[in-house]
Amino acid sequence: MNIFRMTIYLIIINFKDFGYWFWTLCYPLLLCALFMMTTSNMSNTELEDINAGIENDHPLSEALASIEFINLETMTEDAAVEQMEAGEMAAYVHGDYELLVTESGFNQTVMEDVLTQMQSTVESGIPPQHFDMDASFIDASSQDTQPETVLFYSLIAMIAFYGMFSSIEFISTMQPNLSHMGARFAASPYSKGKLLAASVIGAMALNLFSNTFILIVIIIFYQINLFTELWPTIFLLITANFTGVGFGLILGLVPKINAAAKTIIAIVLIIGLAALSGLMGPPLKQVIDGNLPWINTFNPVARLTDTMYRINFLGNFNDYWSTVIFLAALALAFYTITLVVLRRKQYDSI
Amino acid sequence: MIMMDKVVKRYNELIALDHFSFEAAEGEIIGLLGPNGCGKTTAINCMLSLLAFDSGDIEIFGEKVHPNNNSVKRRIGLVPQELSIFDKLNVYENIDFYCGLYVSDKTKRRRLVEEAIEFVGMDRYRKFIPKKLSGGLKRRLNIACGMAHQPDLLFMDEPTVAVDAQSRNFILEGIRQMKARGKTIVYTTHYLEEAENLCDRMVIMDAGRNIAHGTVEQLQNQISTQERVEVGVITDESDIESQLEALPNAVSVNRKNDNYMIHFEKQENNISNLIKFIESKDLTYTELSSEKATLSDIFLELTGKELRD
Ligand SMILES: Nc1ncnc2c1ncn2[C@@H]1O[C@H](COP(=O)(O)OP(=O)(O)OP(=O)(O)O)[C@@H](O)[C@H]1O
Ligand SMILES: [Mg+2]
Repeated sequence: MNIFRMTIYLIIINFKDFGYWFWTLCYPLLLCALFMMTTSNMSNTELEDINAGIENDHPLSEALASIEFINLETMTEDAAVEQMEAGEMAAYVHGDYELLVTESGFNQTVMEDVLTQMQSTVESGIPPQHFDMDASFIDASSQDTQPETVLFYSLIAMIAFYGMFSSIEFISTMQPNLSHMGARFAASPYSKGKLLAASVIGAMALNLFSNTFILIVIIIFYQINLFTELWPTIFLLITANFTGVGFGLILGLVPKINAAAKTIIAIVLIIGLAALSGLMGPPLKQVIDGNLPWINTFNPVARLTDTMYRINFLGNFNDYWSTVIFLAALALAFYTITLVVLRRKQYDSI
Repeated sequence: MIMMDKVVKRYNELIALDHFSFEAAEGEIIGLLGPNGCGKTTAINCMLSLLAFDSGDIEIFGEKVHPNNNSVKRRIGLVPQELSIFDKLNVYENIDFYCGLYVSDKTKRRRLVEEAIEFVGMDRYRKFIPKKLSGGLKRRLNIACGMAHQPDLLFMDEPTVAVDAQSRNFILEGIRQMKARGKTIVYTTHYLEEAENLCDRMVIMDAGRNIAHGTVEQLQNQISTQERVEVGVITDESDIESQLEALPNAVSVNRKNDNYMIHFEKQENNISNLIKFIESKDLTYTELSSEKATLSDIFLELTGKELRD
């Protein structure tokens, strides 16, 4: 049997499974509906402009002042700190693209992104006065639900990893110590590499199918334009699918726990990671980013959420490739471990 | 064909195989018999190198078994004791899946799957998913999945449990046909009669050991009971049991109401001796029957346990 046939069988096995439909389709759609209800009252309010201070005669004054959603005021550092501590101002620009902040939050993040964007433009030889603010920030300034948008990116990031439900199922079924079918499979000469390849292709196909469905629902039904950078986002989501499936394989290999329990573990884990990345609303993410930034550096859901937000919302591609590489590296580590464990063919007890 | 030599397999403290040795020749049906938990399934799993064992040697087709030995695995089939069929695949797909693990050529596989469906008589059910099959039909599907690729060596671990008499005969006939085509079959069962009819040779296992092996006749010769006579006599004499036990060749007597079961160690004029004895006492017998020692006597005597169907 070739890989293709094996994949088809694995897909049939999962596609007819209630768990697949519930966890990868119904559940995310329910969450979506929930978000829409809780955020609908916010979504109509205009985003407040960001108050920012800048040093006298700073080279970026003119460029920053031209940005629609930034209220720029020239002042001294001391005055700025005072205003920031009173909560009246978000950030102070001084020195060489340096940003002074006293707390961390959404507005601070936006300011940081604006500065980074300017810096990279300037470094590419264009004077700050001349760069095209409209192109980079026009979408951002016209968005009226900025903080809430993070919620949707976070949700999409979460479901991108849901391929793991299928791979947990596949690998549990094919392990001699976990299922009778697995023992029967291990007695055959079928290649473990082929099985692994078929599981990955099958699980990715299933999850990309449900991801597409959910994205279409979000876009059509809720009229949210989340993707100004469609192809880079799709590539990013496919990479995340690859990682999610790999994670499911690892979880699937764990002995003594049945697939149902593993699914629960996976759901709790992913929702936890998604919460840290903003799924439960921006405040938690801000607290984490401010106090324990390393957590989200290693949190794949957060990396994916941030990167999607940056490329689509701020037109900032600075961390795009590092996120892709981070996700791909995780995936490769997962696959390597899986293959090594699968190749270990004898068991002390089955 | 199969050579298993002093294999020891421990599950922590429990010794599941205790220096178990066993041989099977090409083209024979060999039965593995023994009470629950005696290690039949464990022995099969070791032969398939699914389980790691502590010591001993196993060779199949003249090669040492090894988890990576795919050339050996390709020629082996397994009908596991536990159902191993996919709930979400229908009958045809289940058989095709398992056959596909061995056979990559599509046309050949289609033919083999059709033959397997015919073998278990499930043509009517080919589009059924297992949930819609009765327990016996599921077992038949399990058998089809294990033998569809027509291996040279087939392990069948209690394949006919829960299968009705008619389908069982159908399956047993199929197994005989496989033997006729030169296949070797290792068969475990709790149905002694089935083993007696089907198997060329038998291995009797108890507590992980091979306690006796051979053909039915060879096994019969290994035990003291050769003939069992059941007689019904009505009498007031209380010591009739010991008198019966004093008959030539008699080994033991068990009483059940007015019936006495007498075990004789040789098959030698036992009935006529018994009738003479009854007549000499002026008694009459209500019934009289005689049986050669069966596998279950062999079993009882060798293991001290009754093996129930
Ligand atoms: N995975 C395991 N872990 C621990 N002990 C086990 C395991 N599998 C089997 N055993 C024990 O090993 C012994 C042999 O079991 P095995 O399944 O080989 O018996 P069997 O002869 O096939 O019995 P049955 O007729 O009930 O199928 C039993 O005592 C059983 O309890
Ligand atoms: Mg068994």
